[in-house]
Formats: sequence, structure tokens, C-alpha cells
Amino acid sequence: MKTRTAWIAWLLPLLLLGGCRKASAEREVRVVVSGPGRLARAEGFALQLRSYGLPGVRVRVCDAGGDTRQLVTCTRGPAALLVTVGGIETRTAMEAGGSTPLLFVGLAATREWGYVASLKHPGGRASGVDNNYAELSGKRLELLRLALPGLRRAVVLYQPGVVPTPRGLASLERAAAALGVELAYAPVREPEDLADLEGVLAGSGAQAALLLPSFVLENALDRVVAATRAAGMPLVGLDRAQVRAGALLAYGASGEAMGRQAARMARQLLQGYPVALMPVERPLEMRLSVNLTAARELGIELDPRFLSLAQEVVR
Amino acid sequence: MNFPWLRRLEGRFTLAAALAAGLPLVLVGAVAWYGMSRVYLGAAGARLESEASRLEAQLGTRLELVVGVLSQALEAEGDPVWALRRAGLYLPEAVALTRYEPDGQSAAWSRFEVAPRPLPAAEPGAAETWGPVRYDAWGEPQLTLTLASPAGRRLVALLRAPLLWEALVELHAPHLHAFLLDRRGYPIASTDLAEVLRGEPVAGELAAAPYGRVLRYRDAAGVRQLAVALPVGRLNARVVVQAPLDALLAPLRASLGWLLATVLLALAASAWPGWRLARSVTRPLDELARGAAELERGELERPLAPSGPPEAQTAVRAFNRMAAELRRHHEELADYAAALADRVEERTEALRLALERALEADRAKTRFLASVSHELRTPLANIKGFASTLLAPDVAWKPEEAAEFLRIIESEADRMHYLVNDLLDLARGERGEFAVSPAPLHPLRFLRALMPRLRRVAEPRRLRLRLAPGLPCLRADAERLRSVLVNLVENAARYSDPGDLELMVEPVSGGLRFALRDPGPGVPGPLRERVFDPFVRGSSGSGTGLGLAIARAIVEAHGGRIGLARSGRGHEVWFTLPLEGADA
Repeated sequence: MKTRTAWIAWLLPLLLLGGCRKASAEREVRVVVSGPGRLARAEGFALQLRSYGLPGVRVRVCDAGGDTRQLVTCTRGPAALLVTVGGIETRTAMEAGGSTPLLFVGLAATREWGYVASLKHPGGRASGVDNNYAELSGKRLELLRLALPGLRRAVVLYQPGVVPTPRGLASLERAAAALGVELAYAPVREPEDLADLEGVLAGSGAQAALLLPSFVLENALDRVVAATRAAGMPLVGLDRAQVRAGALLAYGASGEAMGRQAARMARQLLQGYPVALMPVERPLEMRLSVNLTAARELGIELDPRFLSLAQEVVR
Repeated sequence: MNFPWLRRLEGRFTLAAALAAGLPLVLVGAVAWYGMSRVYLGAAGARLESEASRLEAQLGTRLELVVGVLSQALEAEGDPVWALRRAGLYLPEAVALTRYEPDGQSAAWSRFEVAPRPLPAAEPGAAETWGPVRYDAWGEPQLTLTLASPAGRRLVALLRAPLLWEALVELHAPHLHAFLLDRRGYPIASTDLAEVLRGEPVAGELAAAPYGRVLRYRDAAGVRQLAVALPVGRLNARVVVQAPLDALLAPLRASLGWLLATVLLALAASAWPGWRLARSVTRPLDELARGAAELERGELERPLAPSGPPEAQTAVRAFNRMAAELRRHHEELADYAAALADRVEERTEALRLALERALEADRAKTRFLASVSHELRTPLANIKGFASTLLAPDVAWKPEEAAEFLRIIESEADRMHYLVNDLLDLARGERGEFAVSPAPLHPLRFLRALMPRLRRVAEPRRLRLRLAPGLPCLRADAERLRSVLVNLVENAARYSDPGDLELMVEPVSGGLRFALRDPGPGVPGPLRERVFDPFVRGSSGSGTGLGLAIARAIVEAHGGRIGLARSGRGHEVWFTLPLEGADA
């Protein structure tokens, strides 16, 4: 009996030691999304990051649905990495404090936000992919002019008080001056301002509308598209998702592409790369997307040479 | 040196076994690890080289495409701006394009600017010229490509170098890392864009490594890398594919780790049973050694307890049997020695007694000779004397005197006759030839007839006869029995104290007991045992010493026994005779 007890006492710890493995702690990567207009970036990011198969990493997309109060909630709670898909999301997460690394996907005018010391060496808790949307604003006007050679006046839909807006407006104004196009302005501060957007557009005397980066406008794109259609003017969007949603054309990096690009950076961060040393990246590809359906509905005849420039045509 | 713990260890073959088994295991493991890692790294180097070749080819294809698209823009007729727009939007690498006409006019396109400034025109030269790497505000390296047409047109392109890579890289293994180094050793394209944007040079040995040769080096982070570099002649750069050694060896290390862990676990798991097993073997051996030592000292008193495996228990039991056998032999030897000593002592005593008897016999013979001589000479002298007296010529004896003399001569002759007969009987008895002739005998009648003679022999003492009633008849030699009784009465009358004698006859089991009591002190102790031996006489020294010896011979010839006994204040000599008598 004594011998049998000694054997059991010896073998039991061995079995326990051999049978137990340290379970890896789960790390949450939370993607904070302000609304449906930027969901493509989150989806592109989540799909790509999941494809890496990082052990113990769980991706959770928190969609505030356009509600800024809900957006604050999305930034709370423990997470290994916060991923923001735009300026409002990044600002909310940064103002929430904490030391969780933050990776932005498609932030416009990164340097103006003040979250990074420099693009090469951010030095803080945030880094990510700048979408160059503000810098491309003038180029979009040029492309619109190529599409509509008779363009003389365009109205700019923008959100005052948003960090990228000044840069975008400056880019537009330089382009307008170079192209001889007059600009009208339609500021949208809140979603409620969209109620009389059709009237504002109709009263602007513009032949087309251009969109500047804005979470309010992007998340209410359907209303914006409906208003421009009602006003009988084409809309120039930011990326191909907006072209698919009804804009005539867009020029810029797609949300999915930026999401995939940011996922690669997130993998490095999750593997221990310090976010302060992670350089801010630019989009790897900027695409010109054209919506022929929208042109047809608006009765617009596009210049064939312009169409030959498009990388994506929605028919 | 005297280390008790070392002595304890020396006795534990488990230590030697562990060393003997563990050392080759370690050596084999080290050699196996070295050989397998060499082979594994050799194969990994070949994979890296293959990957570098593939990437170099793809990069060449991409560069060919870029040059082709830009060449079309260079050669395109019509509005050059539209040609530049098409090329710029088709090539994601393109940042800015400028086409110079032979007459010096230029057209420009930029990805961000609506009215860009023309890129600086390169000096006329080769059809394709790659300029030095420059960096934009983002820290991104940019390549300057100048194409020249035979017609004198030139096209200057500013290209995002990292995108050359991003467009083509599709590495086959996640731990592989590839990058494009400019001639200074700075990465201008990489699978890790952050590495390019940091703008830090790679290790010097990598920038100067011979092409196509597998290189092992330690990067800035101290990570050991295995790398292969191949040239990209168009860009005056080199494409490098590398992988961390640890990652390359990870599968092998994981397998070896599992193997090692399994071996260690097995060793750990077997340590306790092994020690138990070893102890189960060594403990019986220790017990055997201790038992052997005790056995050697003669101190092994109890058997060893069998323990351990069956073989060890068998050995212990065999040892116990051997010890028991040795102990039994030892005890038998001791008993034998004791018995031998007793026998020697007994024999010595017997020899001493025999010697004494021989001496006594010798003395008895001497006395016998003296006695016999005396006993024979005395009647012979009497016979001679009375005969001489009767024959004396000068004496005329009266008839009654002569008759008396003749009666005396006859008596002395009888005396001599009896003496000679006794001697002859004794001689026959000692030879075992004493013969008796048993015949039915009624003791009452026999004794009544004998009593007168016995009373004469006993005179002057009185002899009383006391017979038990209903004495049975017996078979005996009446003449011999008479001789016995006469001898006994004669001895009693001669040697006992004054007093009456009493002859008693009584039945005993299977026979009759005759006893003659006298009032004397009896035979002295030392003489008691030999009184029935021949030629043994009392202290008076009278007699021939044959009477009792002949009496014993007669009694024993009848199958009876004879002896002495105390009887109250007197003494008795007794003998028994069986009713059936001895076989004739």
C-alpha cells in the first residue's frame, strides 16, 4: 500500500506537468468605426489581420453607427491595439487617454492633428496610414474638369472645424485657380445640416460637388448623393466605395487597401514593434474610379480620354 | 581521502549507469543537432537563393514594364500631358512625370499637383538612365528615371521606390524578408515598409556581400540572419532575401525541443523508479554483504529478509539456505566433536577401568595363585602329613586313630576336588561354555533336603528358612543351584557379623527370588561392583574369590540375575531364577 501511494504521488505530478500547457492570453484588437462610411477600412483591416493567423489575437469591430457618444464607448476597455478608421475616431481614442497603441487607418492631414512628432518617427502612441485625401482634393477637381471639360463652377461640401479641411480647401483653391474654376462652399457641421443640403446645392449655382474628408459627410453619404442627384449635379467622392455608392468619380486609396496596409503594420505592432518608431505610411495605390451609371443618370457625357484614365469603372 | 558520501555513491551503479547512458546521449544529440542544423541551413540557403532569383526576375519584369509604359508616354504623339496622365495613373509608383520635347518645351504631370513644376531635365545620354535615390518629405526613397528617344525627346520620371516592391513581392514563407539595397546600403524597397521609411542602412557586410553566396551575419538588433544577395544591374542595386536563423531552425528546434523535453521527462519519470529499482537490487546486495560479514564472524543469528526483485529474493533465500546449512553443519560438527570427546573420555575411562581391571585381575591372579597355591598346598600338606603319619614305620596307630586320619585325608581330598571343580567351572563360565541342566524342581522339597547341609555350612550361626506360601515349581539345575546356595551361605557365615542368617524364597514376576540375609554391614562400596568378579575377595583376604563369580555364572546360565542389597539393619545377597529356566 505504501509503495503504491509513493508511485501515485510520483506519477501524478509528472502527468500534470506533461499534460498542462500554458494557455496564451487573448489579445483584443479593437477597430473603432464612427459609422458606415468608413466600414470598408475596418473590413479590409480585419480580413487581412485575421489572414495572418496571429495566435491569441481577436479582432473586434466597434461601429458607433454615427453616434459620437457611442464612439467614446468603443474606445474604453482593455485592448492590445486600438485601430481607428478616421480623424474623429482617432481624436476620440486619443482624448480617452491611456497607453494602448493606436493605429489609424486613413487619417487625413496627419501632421496637423498633432498626434505624431514626425512622419518618420511618430514618437507617441499613434501611427498608421495617412490617406492623402486632403492633398488629393485639388487633383480631384482636375479630374472632374477632365471628365466635364465645361465645368466652370463647383461647390465644396466640407465640415468646418475638422483638421484636414484647411489643407483640403487650400489644395482645392490652388487647383481651382490653376484650372479657372469657381468654387462655392457648402459647410456641413452636423448631420442636421444635411436636411436642406439640396437647397444649398441648388442655390450654389455649381455644376458639380466635391467632397472633403469629413466623418459627418462620409457617414451620411447616401443623403449627400441623394441631395446632389436631386440638385442634378455630379458628386466627386474620396474613394471607390463612394463611387459605388453613387458618386460620379473618386480618386484616392480605397478603404480596403488602406485597411490591408494597416493590418501589416498592426501585425508588426502586435509582434512587439514599438509604435513610437513605426513610421506613418502613405497609401500604396491611388485609384481613379468612375461611375458610368451615375453619369448616365445625370445625363453627362464623359470624355473618352478621361475614361481611359480610370482604373475602375462602375457601369 | 575518505568521503563517506563518495563510498555510498560508489555502491550505486545507478550513477554510473546514468553517466554511461547520459553522456553518449548528449554527444549523439550534439552531433545530430550540428549535422541536422548544417543540412537544414544548407537547404534554407538554397531556398533563399531561389527566392532571391525569383524576386530579382520579378523586379526586372516590373522595371521592364515601368520603362515600357514610360517609353510609350515618351513616344506618344499628340497632347503629351494626356500621355503623361495615362502613364502616371497606370503606374502607382509614379509621383511626377515630365516630358521634354526636342525644342525644349515640356509637359508635366504630378500625382498631387494640378500644375506641377517640370522635373529637372537630365543631361542627354543613354536611352535609360537611373539617377541617384532621393527622399521626399515622408522619408520615402524615390528613383529618378530618364528616358531618351532617338527623336530627341526625354522623359523624366520620379518613382516611389517602395512601390516597385509592393507591387511584386509575394514571398513564399512568412519568416522570409526581402529588400532592395541601393549602392550605399540603404533599403529603398522592402517587404517591411517601415524599414524603408526609417532610412537606416543595413549591416555593412550585407551591403558588401558577394552575390549569390549564402551569408550569415548579425543585424543591428543582434539577430542572426541567413541572407543571399543578387544584383539588380539596372538600378545599380542588390536584392537581398534573408531569414532569421532562429526562425529557420525553429521547426528543427521545436522537434528537438520536444524530443529533448520528452527525453528529460522520460528521464525524470524513470529516475524515481530507476532509483527504486536500483535500490531494490543494491539493498539485497548490501544485506547479502552484511550477512556474509556476520556469517564470517559467526554472528548471523537470524535469516535475511528477502526483498527486491524475484532474482534478488531468490539470491537472499539461497544465501539463507546456505547459512542455515552451514549453521547446521557447524552444530553437527560441534556435536560430533563433543560426542567424540565424550567417547574419548568414555574410552579413556573404559581403558582406565580395563587397566584397573587388568591390574586388579593381575593382582587377583596373583592372589589367586597365592590363594590357590595356599588352598591346594594346605589340604595337600594335610594329606601328605597324615599320610606320612600313617605310614610312619615306627608308629603303630590304633585303628580308630588311623580311621580318623584317613577321614581327614578324605576330607582334604574333597576340598581339593571342589576347588579344582570350581576353577574348571569358572573357566567354562568365562568362555561361555558354562552348561546347566535344568529340570523340574520343587523348591520346597529341594530346600528341605538341602537345609541340613546348609546349616552345617552356617555353623555356628543359625540359619532360618522362610518360604513364601505356594511356591511354584521351576526348571533348574538342582546341583548347580545347590552349589550357589552353599557358596552364599558359606560366604555369609564367613564374612558377616555374628548373628543369625535367614534364607528367604518368594515368587516374583515370572520366577523365584532367593535372598540370604545376614546381620553384617555387607560388602564395602568400592568392592560392591566387583564382588561377583573372579578372584575378588574381601579385606580379610581369605577364600579363593571364586564362589560368588561361579554363583553369578550359574544364575546367569539359568537366565536369572544376582545382586546385593541393603535389608533393614542387615545385608542381603539375592538372586532370581525364571520359572522356565534357561534353554539347555
